[in-house]
Amino acid sequence: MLEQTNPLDNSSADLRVFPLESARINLRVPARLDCLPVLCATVREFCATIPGLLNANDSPPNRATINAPGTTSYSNFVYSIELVLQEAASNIVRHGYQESGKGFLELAVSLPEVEDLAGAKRRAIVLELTDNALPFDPTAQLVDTPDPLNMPESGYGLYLIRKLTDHLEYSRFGSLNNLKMVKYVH
Amino acid sequence: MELDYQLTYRSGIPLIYLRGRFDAESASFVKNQLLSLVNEQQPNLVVNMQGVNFVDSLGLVALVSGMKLCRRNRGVFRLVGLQPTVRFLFEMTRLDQAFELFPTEEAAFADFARG
Repeated sequence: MLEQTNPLDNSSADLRVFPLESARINLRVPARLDCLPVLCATVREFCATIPGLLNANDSPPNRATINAPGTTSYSNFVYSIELVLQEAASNIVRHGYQESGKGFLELAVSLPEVEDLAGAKRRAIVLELTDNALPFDPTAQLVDTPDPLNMPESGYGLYLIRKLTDHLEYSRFGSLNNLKMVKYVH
Repeated sequence: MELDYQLTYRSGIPLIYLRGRFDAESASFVKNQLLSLVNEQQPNLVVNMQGVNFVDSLGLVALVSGMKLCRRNRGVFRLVGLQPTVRFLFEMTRLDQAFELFPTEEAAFADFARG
């Protein structure tokens, strides 16, 4: 039986006693480009304040893991998460709401254990964006790998979302869009 | 806008310092600035990115537009001092193969000074 600790107490660096399933942030902001840095900072803080989140403590030994803060792999991992969120939210504000300044963006961040396509259990960061803008399904779009010789002047956003996530899911409930972006921690 | 923009000149070539977050909010401003600085008489541009800690896809597109305009005018477009995470983004999008990237201003201006 695992010992439970207060999820707000950062003093423990041992993932075995940290209830990752309870780690969750919900945030609702106006659907404006100047609000996106707040969303990104929230996710960055979420990664930084959970002790040992990206360490190998609860990882099977045969999987690559993200290392501690300060390392390149940690920085790139956190940057990837921020980027995926920025691109998805920016699409919603610019295309979904057509930069009207009206409407909202709701972000939920969580750390569940999920099953990958092979059925293996993986710890993942899940970002969910909900909005009531025009419907847009980023999973239904064709995305090309950028060609450095051609240097296109669009299309990088969706490419990055696809490239930097392990799983994407879009659904529409009534007037609400919900985009779920999953990235395995290890 | 969480981006600081400063324009100066070195060896007669526009040198832009960007600091902060180069994203959807600031990209069109920077793109317009870059495009206004390049023409047949002045086809070169250097952007110092040492202070930029975040670039998104629209930031990238602003830089691509600047580079394309320089090339159309037979000039060069150079980027200085990408932070490691920003470089990671360039590698993800393969734009590290398209841009001329330099670690320092001195290196970026070396052949301008000679020329």
